Amino acid sequence: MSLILGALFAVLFSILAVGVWIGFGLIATALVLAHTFSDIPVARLIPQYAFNILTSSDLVALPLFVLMGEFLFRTQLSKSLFNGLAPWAGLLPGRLLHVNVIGCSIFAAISGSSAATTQVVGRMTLHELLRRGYSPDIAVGSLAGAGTLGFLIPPSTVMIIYGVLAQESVLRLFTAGFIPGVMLAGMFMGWIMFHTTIRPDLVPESERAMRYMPFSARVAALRELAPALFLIVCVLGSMYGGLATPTEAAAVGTLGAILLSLWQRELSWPVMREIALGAVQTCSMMGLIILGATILGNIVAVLGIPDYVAKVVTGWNLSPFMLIMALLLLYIVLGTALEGFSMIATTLPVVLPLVTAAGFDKVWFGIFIVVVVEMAQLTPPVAFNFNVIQAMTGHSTSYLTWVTLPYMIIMALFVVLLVVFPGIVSFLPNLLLT
Amino acid sequence: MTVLGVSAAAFAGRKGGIDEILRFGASAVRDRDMTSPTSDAPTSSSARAYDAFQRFVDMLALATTYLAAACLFALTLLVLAEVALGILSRIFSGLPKDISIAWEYSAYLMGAAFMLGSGLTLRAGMHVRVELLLKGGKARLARHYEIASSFVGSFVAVLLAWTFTDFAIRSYLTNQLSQDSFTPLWIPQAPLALGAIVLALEMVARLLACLVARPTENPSFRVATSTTE
Repeated sequence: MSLILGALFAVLFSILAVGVWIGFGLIATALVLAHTFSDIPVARLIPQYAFNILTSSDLVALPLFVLMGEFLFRTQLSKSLFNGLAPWAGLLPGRLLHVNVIGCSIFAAISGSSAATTQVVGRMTLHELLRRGYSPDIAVGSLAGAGTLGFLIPPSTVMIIYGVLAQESVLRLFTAGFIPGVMLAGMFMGWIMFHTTIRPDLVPESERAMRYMPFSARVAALRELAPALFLIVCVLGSMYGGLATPTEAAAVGTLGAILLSLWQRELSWPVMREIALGAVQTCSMMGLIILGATILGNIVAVLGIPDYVAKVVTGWNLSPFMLIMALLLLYIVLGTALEGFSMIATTLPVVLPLVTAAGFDKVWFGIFIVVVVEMAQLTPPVAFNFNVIQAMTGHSTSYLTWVTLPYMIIMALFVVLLVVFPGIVSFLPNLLLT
Repeated sequence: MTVLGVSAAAFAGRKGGIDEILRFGASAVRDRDMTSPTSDAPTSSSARAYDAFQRFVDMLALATTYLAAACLFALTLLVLAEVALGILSRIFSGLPKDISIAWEYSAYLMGAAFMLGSGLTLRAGMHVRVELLLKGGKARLARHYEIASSFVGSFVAVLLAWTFTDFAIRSYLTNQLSQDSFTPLWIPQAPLALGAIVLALEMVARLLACLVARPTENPSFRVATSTTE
């Protein structure tokens, strides 16, 4: 059995390292394992596994959220978020830097993707912050860090994929992610306040004037947040209120995003074509990874690998805390070379039985893995949030790694916090879903 | 023994896949000047044959991508109709509470959208892969990695296309019906097979492109904005 396990890692690693597309690589590994170590009729099983997962109704929310993201991307939400949040952020030490974090949190509560969050929020804030004379270190760092909240604050495409692969309720995951997301945003803001207090030169002196804005102007600015709040009510409100399933909420959110972009007159036929084809490509990209993960996961389970791994690791007598720390380290290393979806897809078949055997709840582990995927967005050479920011500012990868390091550390500390206080994850689902 | 029989069928499928690759690949390799990878590829007949094949496959992939977009659109409408009916039925008691086929059919449409767009997604360079060795190493080595990964990719893609098609045909011949709506299962399975065939064609075309030293991707097909770029 240890031979099979060794073969699994050796084959998977070498195939993926050469550059085989993740989905194909997972299937190729499954083929090699099945043909070498068993007489499973794998060619007969593959289309059945594929059909079951590709037409699984739990997954339908995924293409809808992707489509919604494509529409939102064309709206003027970034401008209205900035105008609505700036007067309030000016009250805090660190001033407009907080627009990055709060803006990302709000957009994350509408959209399911982290790169989209970084891009939509950054499109407005980066330019504005740099123009006003904020230090690029902290302007760029806080954007890249906060942009990752797109995955943790529901809705979240990563959670849908985890939910389907781990056979856990997506609604439960969506409910569980809310408090951790808000807490992590709070920790980011706390760090910005601390950092700008000990290093006042990061924020231009002239920004102090923002404290003396008339209160009525602040309240008036809130109107700008109406479109975003409308969409949050559509998506999160309908789900948490028990009115809609994640899929229905995604459809309602998509309708909301379409109406918003119609109202802002952003839609034309060429734009519609871009939205449709863009959504299809993103879906296909995710679809191939999900397909590969399912096929490998099924084959690995048939071969009995999960049980074996669970038994071996139980034999090591690791404390659950040490186990999670080991996994955290593993995922940080993997996250340098893989992006989030692929990381979940390649590891879940082996890791999930392991953590459930150690007594962790699948929802809790889902939130853990989402935070870890967020960190992977910031670990080069494969770091999607860096790509997004590089497209806007042209900063080097090493510079971005350096300025986002504090946010990486905060996320790692946050994982420790989640292990020590699992109630952070379970509180809201237990309250809302019984 | 039935297990063995099926395995043999699977093996036959694999051989078909390799044969297909070899048939296209052989002539390309034969005509290529092995000593200099950047030799006058544009004038060779194999490169011209590749260009024609690639054009044909790209057209096919673009057509199925539009089909995928239509599926996505229909899926959205179907779920929205379901939501609307759920609300309206609370006001007007005569209306049915839901569309009985909505969940099942929206999932079928999703599967079709996933697979039908896959070919063009590959051509656009949007499918995820680990690019450390491809981009970090020496150019000569990177070329070998590209050929190796395209070969593995072609093998798997052709196998998928073959098994998906076989699956849909068997469902048709044995008249398999879905449990909820008694829909013949070959109907949702056929677009998956079509998408897998186009993906396999794009994958084989990519392998050929490597062999005749043509660009493997066409970034002008890249439109997705919100996730990766």
